[in-house]
Amino acid sequence: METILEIKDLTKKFGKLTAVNNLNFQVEKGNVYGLLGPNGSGKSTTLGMILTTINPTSGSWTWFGNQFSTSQVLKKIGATIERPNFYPYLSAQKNLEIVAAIKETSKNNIEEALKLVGLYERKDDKFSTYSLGMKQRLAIAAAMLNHPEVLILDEPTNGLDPQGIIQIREIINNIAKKGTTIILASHLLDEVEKVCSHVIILRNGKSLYSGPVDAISEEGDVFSIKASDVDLLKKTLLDFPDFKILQEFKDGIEIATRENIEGDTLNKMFAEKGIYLKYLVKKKANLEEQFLELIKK
Amino acid sequence: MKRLLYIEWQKLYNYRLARIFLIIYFLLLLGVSIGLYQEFSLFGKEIRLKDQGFYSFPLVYNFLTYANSFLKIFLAFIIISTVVSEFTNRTFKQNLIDGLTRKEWLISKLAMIFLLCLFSTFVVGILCAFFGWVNPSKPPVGMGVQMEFLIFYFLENFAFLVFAFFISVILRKAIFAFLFLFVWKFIEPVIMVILNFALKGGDKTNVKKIIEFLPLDVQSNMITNPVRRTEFAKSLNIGLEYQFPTISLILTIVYTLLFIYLTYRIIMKKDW
Repeated sequence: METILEIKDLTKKFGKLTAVNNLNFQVEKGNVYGLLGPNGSGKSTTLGMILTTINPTSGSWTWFGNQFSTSQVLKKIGATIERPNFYPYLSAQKNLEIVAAIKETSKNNIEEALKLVGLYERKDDKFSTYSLGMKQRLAIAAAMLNHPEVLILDEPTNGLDPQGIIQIREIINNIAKKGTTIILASHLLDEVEKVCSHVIILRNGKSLYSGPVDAISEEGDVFSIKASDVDLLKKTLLDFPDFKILQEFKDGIEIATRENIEGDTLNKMFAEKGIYLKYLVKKKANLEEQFLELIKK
Repeated sequence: MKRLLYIEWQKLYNYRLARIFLIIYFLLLLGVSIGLYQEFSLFGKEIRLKDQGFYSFPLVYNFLTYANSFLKIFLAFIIISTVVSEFTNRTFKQNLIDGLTRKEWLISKLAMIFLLCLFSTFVVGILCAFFGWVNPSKPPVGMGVQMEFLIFYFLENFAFLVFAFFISVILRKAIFAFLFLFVWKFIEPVIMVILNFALKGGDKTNVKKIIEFLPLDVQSNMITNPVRRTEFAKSLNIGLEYQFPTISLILTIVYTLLFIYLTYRIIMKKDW
């Protein structure tokens, strides 16, 4: 495996607050990484440091095994930060021309990048006339302009409507399929589960877990279930000591099982007790569990 | 360098507000020089500046650079609004992420300021040469005499715009930057009044010297008021012979380098 990014003992203090605390992780080529954590866990600060907008307090990182200088590296990667940032008075085309000049890449890539995100027809419209979803897509187009080896996305679906979220996810999945390494920062577990192969869970600037998404869910599963009579459902659950209630909703609950179990088995177990589930979704285990515990603290 | 200028030009030229101000500035450069060439009346007196030697060599250099130096506020407006917008639109941050280094960003802005000043100096230089050639002085004076006013003019503009750039980077809000520039322009005379008052009856020549060392005053002291060089002013005992402004020139350069350095420090040290 080729290591693309290696972060060593990275620390950032803002006065008394330690935003990132001795962070270590590695990014391998071709994987899709989720940088997962609640707001204020240090995701954006970490990305800010490796993208040179924030000066680290201590620690270091190496890109591509240190073969290139920082400014060379930034021209080889693509990144968007929290909000899409462009010159509002310029068209998408002109904005990307500036990005192309900064990245020292050909203007001829602009058409391809705009088509990738479905904005080619609107290329001559001013950025200020775009909807938030379009702005976010333009940010991805700008990041993809130089055919980067690594794409860094910071909360790309933040503030978008469901349709916008789906569009962004489709674009990310298409990019991932081509073998581009992606680092996606998000506070949404659901998003990371849908898109990522690996996850780094952050809390208070520290890494709680770093590794494949699948590896942490070897033991046990998480199910979201609903029944017409929720009280009866909860009462019945007491009969199954291997199941643990994670969360309760208005008309359903989320449970964790100690051992791996398939949906049909679970359904049958409840049916035998006289309860028919009207909703049953199997989720990636432990990740959910860990993340919920992390948020509770 | 070509890349940096291209990037900067794309940002500036396509910014309608900046483009309009640039055109107004250019028209005013022509307008002031040509306008004052005409006969006009002031306090009921007919004034023909060209008959006083203001449009002949060598005084034309002093006069036109002095008259046009007041227009630099238009260039400062362009610098402040474009620089501040890089922070409010967070494009500065995005530029860094896209691979522009902090130093390159600074250089591209300074290069644009340099070119704007060069353009202005070039236009004023052409105007001086034209009017000096049309209005020969008696006895004839060579075109090269006191041409150094063009250098002073360039430096005055450059120093002022670097100062405007510096406060834009510090304040990062257009309205504050304009107010600060405006207020600072008045603070220097106010300091003078306060010092004068404090040293009532004392030796006031030192007060005047202190004032001459403040940044904006130093800049405008390079080009003295040309009216004081006329026979009329000399007859009123407020006349002045032309002297090469060595101290003002050196101080302007020192201040400019200082402000560039301070801007550099802020750009490099701050988290964006």
